[in-house]
Amino acid sequence: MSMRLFKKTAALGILISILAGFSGCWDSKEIDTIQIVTGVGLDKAENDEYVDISIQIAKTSPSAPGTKDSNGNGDSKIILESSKQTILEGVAELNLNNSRSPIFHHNQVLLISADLAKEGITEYLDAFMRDREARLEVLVVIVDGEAKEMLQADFEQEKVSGIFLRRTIRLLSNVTPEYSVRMIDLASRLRDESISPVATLVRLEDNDDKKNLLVEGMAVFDSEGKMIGNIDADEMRGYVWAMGKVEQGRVAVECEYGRAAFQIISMDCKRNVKLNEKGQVNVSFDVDATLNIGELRGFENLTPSELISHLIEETEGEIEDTIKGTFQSMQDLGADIYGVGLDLKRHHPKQWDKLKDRWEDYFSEAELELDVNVRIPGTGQIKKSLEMEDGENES
Amino acid sequence: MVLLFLRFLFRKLRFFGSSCLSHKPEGEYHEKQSDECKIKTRLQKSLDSIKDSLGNSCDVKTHTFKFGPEKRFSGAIVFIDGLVSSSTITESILRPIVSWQPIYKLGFSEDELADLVSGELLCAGEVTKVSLLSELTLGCLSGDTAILLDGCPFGLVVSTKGWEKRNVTEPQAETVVRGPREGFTENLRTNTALVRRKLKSENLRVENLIVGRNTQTDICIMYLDGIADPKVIETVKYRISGLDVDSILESGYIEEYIEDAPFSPFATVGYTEKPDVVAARLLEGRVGIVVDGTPIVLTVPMLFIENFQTTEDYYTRPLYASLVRILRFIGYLITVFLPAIYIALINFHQELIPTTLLFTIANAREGTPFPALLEMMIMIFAFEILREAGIRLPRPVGQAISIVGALVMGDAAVSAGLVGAPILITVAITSVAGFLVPAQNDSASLLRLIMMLLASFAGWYGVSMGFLAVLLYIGSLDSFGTSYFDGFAWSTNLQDSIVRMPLWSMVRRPKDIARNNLVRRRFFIPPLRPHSHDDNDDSEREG
Repeated sequence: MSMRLFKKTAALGILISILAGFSGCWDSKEIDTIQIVTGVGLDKAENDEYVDISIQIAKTSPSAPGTKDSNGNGDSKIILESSKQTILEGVAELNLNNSRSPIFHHNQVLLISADLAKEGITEYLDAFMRDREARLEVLVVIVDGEAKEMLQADFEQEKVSGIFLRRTIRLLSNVTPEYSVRMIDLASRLRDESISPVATLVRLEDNDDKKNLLVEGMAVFDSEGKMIGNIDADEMRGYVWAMGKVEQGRVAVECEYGRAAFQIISMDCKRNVKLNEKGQVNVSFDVDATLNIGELRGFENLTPSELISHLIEETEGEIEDTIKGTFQSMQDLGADIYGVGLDLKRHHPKQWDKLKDRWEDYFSEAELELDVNVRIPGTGQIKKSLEMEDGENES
Repeated sequence: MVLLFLRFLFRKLRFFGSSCLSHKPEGEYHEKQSDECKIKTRLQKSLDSIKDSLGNSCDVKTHTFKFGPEKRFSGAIVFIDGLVSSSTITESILRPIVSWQPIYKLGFSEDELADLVSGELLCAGEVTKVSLLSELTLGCLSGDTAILLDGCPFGLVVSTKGWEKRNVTEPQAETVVRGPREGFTENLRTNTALVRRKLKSENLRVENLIVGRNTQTDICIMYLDGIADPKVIETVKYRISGLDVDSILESGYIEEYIEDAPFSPFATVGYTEKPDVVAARLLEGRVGIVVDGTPIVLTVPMLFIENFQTTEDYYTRPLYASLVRILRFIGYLITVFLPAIYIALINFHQELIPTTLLFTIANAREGTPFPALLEMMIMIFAFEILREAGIRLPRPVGQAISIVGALVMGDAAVSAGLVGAPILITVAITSVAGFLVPAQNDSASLLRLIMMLLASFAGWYGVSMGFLAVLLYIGSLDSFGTSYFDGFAWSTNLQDSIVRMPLWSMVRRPKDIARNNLVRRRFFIPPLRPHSHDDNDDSEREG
């Protein structure tokens, strides 16, 4: 063997060993040695030092023909529980007493019970943000009640409640992106003192023997990550509309002529924040909405033009009231969920520096100016309701 | 750094391989024989020595006869039964000679007699005068008839080839929907004629070489003078004429002896069974090597891209042809990498699989006894076994094999819980995709296994390293002075690469092959629109 050939062989050997050495053989996991985590729930433990961790695992069962379980539609998930001082310890304990190791890549939701959230969530997020496996895109959902119960619940559409939750919230976020709060959103809001963190708030509703999911609204946190209140479903609309970029949803008004419901075609909100002479924060919301008539009840005696102008008036009032109501209750909580502080910081950084230490107080005293502009370009596929009279409308 | 090094390494390895195998011709073999026996003056002596050299084979026939005025001359013919057409022998050799009645001149010297027989008597197209016994026997062995005349130190070799041969039929391996259906046969002359019928060009050159000590195989090198690169022609001739081998039974023998990269999974010599393919390649400046006794014709230089080009690409319209060609590229990538990617995803990167899909796969994997790699290997081997069995078996039995393969090995394996259904689907897609590029089936099967092993112990990292290594390796290959990977490079013309441009837009030949004569046509000529023709007529009339 010539020297050159020897060198080449040696080089090839080195290369192969590099390939083997740099690779992650030890990362290799057969798929039947892992269990796929689809939801993590954190609950308050009896001992204050501890936290109850429940992990939901989607049960895999051979689905091949001929090997089907007789109870194929039985329980499709496993709930593992442990109670430890830290989350990592808890997961490690689960690992010990199990034939399969959980992987967190596909975790769908992180459920935190409202009781725990009231004491602060910051410390619990830490473990999930550090872990390489856990994703920052995981949805954070606050459960009014027990997180474990939510994980155990059977829902009609999806057997695995983690997936059910994620899909439900995904669908909601079609209305407005504000509904889906990912870990990364929550974390960045927690770090930022100019905007208050929020997270989706859900509740499990017992309906005879069936369980129903109820999206209650949003949980509102203070800057330390403690849950201080919530926005209910009605107030939620005020929040969503004020945040703008709404592409779906309904507006309903009731007046002396009857009841009308509208589809939101688009709704945008321009915000402007400035300090007035008295040093008070002045917030102006400029809402621009395009609605489509979805349903009319009553309104028999109005011509189309009258009808439209009347409806515009009514809807403008409705939108204004809703937004104002939500804003007021947020001011009462002292939680700037709109990011008014953020706007101020961006546009008037010097003034923000002065205000930021007591921002909650300033926000509570802020003045809201609201300008709502509604357009109703369409009446849907029909012009007038069946009960409306003909004739005068033709002119 | 590592990549550069890899490239270096591959080049070196390749050079080492080829230097080991380069053959130094030992040319003394033929000369040794030449002294031995000239053709004897005495007829009987010559016949005896021919019988000596051919042994006592029963198919060697000799026939002595007397002819001429008063039957004063005697001669003999020697031929091998079965190789010759007996009617040619009777009609154009025996009858004219035996019935010869000279009327004007009676005094012949023996030398003159030979000339007279070949020049005036024989009614054959090709008569050669030889003086060596070995040439005479070689002529007989190739199907010619040897004529010996008493008292004459020469022999005449008359072409009487007429053995049983297969007709020109449709090739089995390269079938087409649109395009010529004739394929080469085992007969060298038929094959060269088939190409010549496609190229009625005065520049088509066919050069003959004889290789193989025992087989004495005729090999024709075909090229278009003025288009083919003289250096390539020279290289081909040098490499073939330098061969000192025992036998050439098929063009595969030649391929192995002349290819640039003997240990490569990628073939650097192209082959085809269809005259139109050879004609097209000659027109691009390639050199064809036709070997007697096989319907497979070699063409060099070969580029990697040739694996993805089929004749029908040029016979169908360009848009569809391009689509199909892109499909072929994707198919090749799938057939090499899909099993590896599957293993890498399943064993290392579960986070990359969409959640629902992961559940499906996990469900299918539940309860299967083997690790993913082994499962995949078993299925791929099973498929290769089935394929091999299907090729070798007679057609009616092949059907049974496919039923056993599809039902027993596929469905039963899944329902018995031995393998998961996703693996089966992966293997099925892999193998079907492989058929898109049949020319690279061998390299694909090899690379697939390597990639799977890499994936199983290094995950996606391994697959990407493997991909890079293969890419560098292909880049380092050469085929007869042309870089194997040309045709994808920006420097060459890409009109006939990943997509096929319309024929009328390809005004140049491939840059790397027809180096000296690039211009196919001087102008870019789009097809005439029917109404533009009418317009011209009108304007002429008005003018």
